[in-house]
Order: sequence, then structure tokens, then C-alpha cells
Amino acid sequence: MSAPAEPTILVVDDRAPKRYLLNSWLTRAGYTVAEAENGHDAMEQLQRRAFDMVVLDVKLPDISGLDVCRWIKNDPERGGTPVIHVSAHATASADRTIGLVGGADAYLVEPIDPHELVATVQAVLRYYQARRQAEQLADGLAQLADTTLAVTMAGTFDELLTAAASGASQLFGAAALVATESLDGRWTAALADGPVAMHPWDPPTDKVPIGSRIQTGTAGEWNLAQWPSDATVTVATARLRADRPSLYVAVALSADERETQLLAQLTQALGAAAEAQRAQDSDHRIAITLQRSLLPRALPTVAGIDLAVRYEPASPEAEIGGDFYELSLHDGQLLIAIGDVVGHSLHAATVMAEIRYALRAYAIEGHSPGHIVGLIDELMVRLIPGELATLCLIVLDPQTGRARMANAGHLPPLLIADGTSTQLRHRAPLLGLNRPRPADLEFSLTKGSTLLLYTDGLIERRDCSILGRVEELSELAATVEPDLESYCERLLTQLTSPPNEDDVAVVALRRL
Amino acid sequence: MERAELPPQATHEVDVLSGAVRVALAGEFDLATEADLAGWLRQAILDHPGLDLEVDLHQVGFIDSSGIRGLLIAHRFAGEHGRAFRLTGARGTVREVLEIVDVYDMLTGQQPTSS
Repeated sequence: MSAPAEPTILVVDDRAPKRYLLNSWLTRAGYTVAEAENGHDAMEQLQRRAFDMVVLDVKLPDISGLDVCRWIKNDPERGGTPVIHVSAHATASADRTIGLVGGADAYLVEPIDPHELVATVQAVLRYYQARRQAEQLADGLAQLADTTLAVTMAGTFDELLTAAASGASQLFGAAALVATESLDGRWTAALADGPVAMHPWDPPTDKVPIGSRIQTGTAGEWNLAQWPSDATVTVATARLRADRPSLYVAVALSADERETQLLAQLTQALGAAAEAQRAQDSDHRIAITLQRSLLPRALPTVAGIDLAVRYEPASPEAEIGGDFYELSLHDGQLLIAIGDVVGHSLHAATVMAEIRYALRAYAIEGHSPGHIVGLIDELMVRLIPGELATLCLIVLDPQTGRARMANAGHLPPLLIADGTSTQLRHRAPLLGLNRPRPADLEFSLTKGSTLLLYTDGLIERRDCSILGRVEELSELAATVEPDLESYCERLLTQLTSPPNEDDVAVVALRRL
Repeated sequence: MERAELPPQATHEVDVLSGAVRVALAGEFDLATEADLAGWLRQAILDHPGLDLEVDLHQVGFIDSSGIRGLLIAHRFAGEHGRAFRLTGARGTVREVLEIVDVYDMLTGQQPTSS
């Protein structure tokens, strides 16, 4: 912001000798002075440009000085202009009161002492400057609070940087850049010069001290590509701890004391928000790692069977889900299962692990699918009451293709044979209720045919019928690529549009 | 704020009928509203001693597994307090989902409530 010029004062009086006197006293005191002869002249000049003060005769030939003062004070654009009344007549205190009530900031009566005039002008201007600074500070702090809220609400690192840069740019009325390192070690800068643009950024190599620091320099020195001007850049850094990355805020101005203070506060708030975002991303990464460790580590190799599995996590903003699958061989029988624990959290993932281990344990004992499902159901009601899960379990003899299936509230698997896909419907209640179950569904997986199991993340959309979406999947799944990985990939691409709201698990199996 | 695109709000309305208290639900029920749902139904049971609970879903446009869990919790709570639980008005995708997880008949009272 430019340094304030000398205050400009409008002197309004119909008598030329008095205007001359007032003008020369004020000029000598260092002010720039303009003159107006009457009320209308004064109002016209005030409409053309802003003045820092009006020295206003009370008794004007056309309009009362009191009315001119009221007009100034009631005008939204000029209301902040201070007014000093001067009166030629010895006035009663009642008149002075009327003037001050009308909004004037001071009232001087002739004969006017030049020192008193100048002292009064200085005092009033001092007061107004202090008030303006307080207002600017309050505006700045309000904008700072808005920006802090916006960055706290950001769901991703890029959103955070965008909100930070655009907030900084609004706060200082200048181009602004905010840069920091995300959890994956990438440095990104958001530049707000109008719309916000993101680009990779190389931070300066010098060591950033713990705490905050303000420096000035040129765009070149700070490696600011696409920076709008060659003028001075003020750069603030915040670093919360020695082992944490720092955050840079650069603004295209040479900051005064107030702006420096505001910039330091903003940078600290942004540094803390970036740290919180990194911590959240780190939590999410740990949760995903843990969840993955609870899923099968490798697929079994089964003679005569081709297998493919896809597991797509939900978007980083969503909590991790409880989707799971199981593929294992027990006494030559292939156990195929897919399921989904109700809820989204690490807790759901741990319930998923309990169900998966119970499933394997019961499978080793050689039970039929329906019996295994019944045992797990009972186990859940006894040991983890209140938890619910869907599960579809198939035991396949890879030699003969004979299969038995027990479903528990899960979406129907698809059986694709000779280019036709069939939904394997077997309606039975989800796990956790211990309700009566129907007998197992028996079917045959002929050579060359494919089995597809999936979780609702693949098809669920709030604006669509779920059965309609199963139909859609069924049509898309009827053509099977020679490579099952490509098959799963195509279905995911055609049916979901990342970032996914929910986890997606897909298991495809073909009998060769 | 701009990014807070809230889903259609989940709301409820309680009416007392003869012999039953009806809670009419509206909106979308998922993980975010599961606790509200279970709480409303529980409160309706506690506030109206001796009355059965009717849960009207005809203004519900979406329910996921978490929403269903909310209904099942209330179903069990009603049973523990000796009241009948009756689901009505489930339509479209809401009914489809209840049928896929096979709790529709149980919640609408077409099956005995205990096994």
C-alpha cells in the first residue's frame, strides 16, 4: 500500500478574506487545502473527490452549514470525513450543541486563534486515523478468521492451499502464494492472482527457523514463477517443529507494521492447518495399511482356475470401509467369499478381520457354506452384538465345477456362461441377526464360465435403483476379457468414477 | 460454506394414532444420520408407553446399510419393551435394499419378530 499523502482539507466559507486566512494557516501547518464558496460548491467538490477533513462555516449564503454537515455524515461514502465547524458570531452554547449533535467533530468560534485551529485539526485527524486503523485491523482479523475457517474445512491438501492463497490475496488486496509439503513429500504452491492456480514449487534451500519469520525480497529470489510483478515481495514462513515441513506465504507488497502482524498471524494459522491436514492424511494412510493387512496377502494357485481380485479404497476424505474377500483352498475345495461390514471406520475393518478368520476356521472343519454362515451369525450375535455384515460364500470343487452358495444379505453374484450373465439370487438375512436361513443354492460352473462377486461400492449410486444398477453391471459383465485383470479393470472404469465414496471389492474367477 | 454440500436433510415427524405411535421419516439415511434415526425411534417408544411403533418410510429416498442398522436397533428396542414394530411405505430403491439384505419381511411384521 502507498504511503499516505498529506491530508487534504476543504475549507468552506463565503467570505474570501476568511478563506484566505484559514487556507494560509492550514497550508503553513503542512496540509493541502481546497476552497469552496458555498454549500452547493462544497457538496459538488465532495462528490468529485474525497477529503480528509472539512472546515465548514456554519452560516453559508445558500444552505446552512449544519445541513451540509448532516449531508456529509449521512452519506455512506463520505460519512467518515471529519467536520470542524467555524462560526463568525458569538454563539450560544445551544448553537454549538446543535452543531455537534449534527455530527460535527469540533466547533470553533471567531475570533479563531490559528494555533487552536491547527491543534484542533491535528487532534481530530489523529482520532480519525486511529479509528481507521482500528477498523482496518478489525476487518483484517475478520478476514483472517474467515480464511482460517475455510482452510480448516478443506478436505484435501489442494483445497487447503487454494483456500489459503485466495484468503491471503483477499486479506492483503494483492497477489499471494501459499506453499508447503504434503504427506507424500511433494511441494506444491497455490498462486492467487485472481483465480487460484496450483503448481509444483521448489522451496529455498536455506534453513527455516522454528516459529515464524518475515522477509522481503524479489520474485526471482523466492523462485516465484508466474509472479505478477517485479515489485517487493514479503514472505512469511511458519515452522511448528524441527521435524515438520515449513509453510510459506508470499504477498506482492511491502508490508507495513499492521500488515506484517496480520501476515505473521495468518501464516501461523495456515501452518497449523497444514499440519492438521498432514496428520489426518497420515491417520488415513495408517488405517488403510492396517485394513489391507487384514485382507488375504496372496491369492491361492488353483489348477484349472483363473483368479483376479480388485480392491479400490474409498477417497481419502471418506473413512475406510469394511469390504472384504476371501479366497483359499481347503482339502481341494476352493472357498470364495465376499462381504461388507456395516459402518465405515477402523472398527468396521477389525470386525471384518474377525469374520474372515472365523470363516476360515469353520471352513477348515469342512462345513457346508450355509452351516458356516449360520455359525458366523451365531458367533457375531454372541461375541460382537450389534455388528452387522453382509456375506456371500461359495464352496467350489475346481475339478467338477460343482458349487454350493450361501448368501447373507449380500448382492447377487453373477454367473457368466456362453456370453449370458445370470444373477445368482439367494435371499437370506444379513449376519448379526441370527435369523432362520434357507437351504444352500447349488449350481455348476461349467468350463469357460466365469463367476463375479462384488461389493456395493461398485454399483451403489444414490440417484439410481440398486436393482437397476445390478442389471447394468450384469449386461456389462456378460462379455469377459481373456485376461481377468482387464475384465475387472473395465468394469471398475465403466461403473465407478473415482474418487469413490465407498470401498470397492471385486472378485472374478474362471474355470479353464 | 460453498463446499458443504449437505445431502437432503433427514427429518422425522411423530403422530399418535390409535394404538400406535407413528414416526414418519423423510430424507436420506446413512452413516451420518444413523444415530439420529435410532435416537428418534427410541424416544418415540419411551415417550408413548403402551403404544406400538409404526415407522413410515414413504418420504425416504435413500437408505444404506447404516440406516438399516438404525431401523434394526429400534426394532430390537421395541421388542425388548414388548411393543410391535411395523415398517410401512418403503418404496423404490429403499424397498429394494431392505429386500436384498432380507429384513423387509421382518421389519414390516410379515414374519414373527423373534427366531
